[in-house]
Amino acid sequence: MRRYLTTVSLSLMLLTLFLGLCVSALGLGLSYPSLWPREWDFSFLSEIGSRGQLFSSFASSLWIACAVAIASTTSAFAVRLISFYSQPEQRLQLFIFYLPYLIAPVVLAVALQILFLRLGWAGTYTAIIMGQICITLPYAIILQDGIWGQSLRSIVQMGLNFGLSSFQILRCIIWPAARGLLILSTIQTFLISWFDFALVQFLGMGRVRTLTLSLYTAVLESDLQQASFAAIAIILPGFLLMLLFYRIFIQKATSI
Amino acid sequence: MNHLEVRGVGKTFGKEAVLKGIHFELPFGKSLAILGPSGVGKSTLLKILCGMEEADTGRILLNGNPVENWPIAKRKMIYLHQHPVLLPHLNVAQNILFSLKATEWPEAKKQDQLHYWLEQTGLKGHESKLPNQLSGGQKQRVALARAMIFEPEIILMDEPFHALDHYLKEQLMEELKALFLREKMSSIIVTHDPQEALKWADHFAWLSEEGLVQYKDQEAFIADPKTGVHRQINFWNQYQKS
Repeated sequence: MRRYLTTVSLSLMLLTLFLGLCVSALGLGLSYPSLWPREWDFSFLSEIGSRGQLFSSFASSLWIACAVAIASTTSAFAVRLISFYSQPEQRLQLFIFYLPYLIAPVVLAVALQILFLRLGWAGTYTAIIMGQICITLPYAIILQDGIWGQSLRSIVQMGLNFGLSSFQILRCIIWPAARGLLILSTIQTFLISWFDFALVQFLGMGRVRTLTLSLYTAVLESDLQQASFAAIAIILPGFLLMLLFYRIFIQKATSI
Repeated sequence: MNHLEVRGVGKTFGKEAVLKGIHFELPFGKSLAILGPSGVGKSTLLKILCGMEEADTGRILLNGNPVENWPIAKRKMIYLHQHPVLLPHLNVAQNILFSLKATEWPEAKKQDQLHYWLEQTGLKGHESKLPNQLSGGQKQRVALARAMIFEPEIILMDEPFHALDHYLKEQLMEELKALFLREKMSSIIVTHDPQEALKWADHFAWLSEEGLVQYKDQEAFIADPKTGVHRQINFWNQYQKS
């Protein structure tokens, strides 16, 4: 019963949030203290492509987030796989993984910008992707920690004992054990990149426009409709991914 | 000729010598119990035998052949962990057949062997269960069936009954002992429990920081005060008298 009530209240909260954003996106004359618009304006839907570059911002955000998620998750998996077999010093490993979080994001961004200016990458997608990977890669490495425990080591030893090749061990033992957390890691790193504002603004130098930047601009310009559409576009993927991979989220969230 | 002979095996981790000049012999179809305090390298010794760890010194002879340079699988010495290591996403039958992944057996032979070992280990009817649906004893049987189907030379058991409750431990030990006798399977068991050793093994050894002592018979093992067996027997005799 308690679980049912929690699910219903959470769903209602999310639904109210979406409804509120939809009302402010499609309603005209919605101003304080009124809660309901005077009239509805659906013309915005047909103009959405031309106004405020929402589509291009969406495409940019999607491209950056996908690149960051895939690169971070696969690189983190590779780093973990190598350290699983080579067994380097644990404390040194942890220090390296947590190092980016010891540095303030703004300091990291400034340092990266100087580097990217020298490399000629400033204001490009590459700069933003590389900058975000500096944050998401250690995060993915830490998140994937749950895969590489003593239990997996024992199973791998058992596989070696039965004469399995390295490829068979990867395919039959490591991959099934890692699959769930790799999906979770991809989703989480995707969302970190998707929601990022500071690095995009700083490293993009105004040349790369993502959804978070569009939302910020719309709020500055008091364009309620555009801001609401941008907000819906920003939060929608998170909810969709959560729904699609509900089981993995719940299982892994309780096991971490 | 002995099934297994270990001559002067030594292992050092960093500056610490864990095993020094280990010698022992295991005849065909017999079982050897290795006892000793914690941290003297009992598990390391088993891992060296099956090839998971490399010895720094010494020789290991299987059927008279030195196996130090053989790949792990060729040695056919299967190591059973203290906690049965099963693949959580595979059912009982798939877990048992997992050990044959690297072999080129025809499917019919695999299925025949699977049914035989399911029968022998009392797992008939549990084939499609996942590991999380099994009891501790059943999990240990699956691990054993998976090892036996591989047709091993020797089974190496690292405190296999440690995690089980008393009654289950007694029952499983009796069943497995009978199975090992039937199959004439050579085995080495590492344990802390002298009673477990006495029930299971035909040969006994004591491993300590000074090295390994193999007793010539059961009486010698019981009589040695450092094994603690004599003390336990005296305690029970006095308890019964009182």
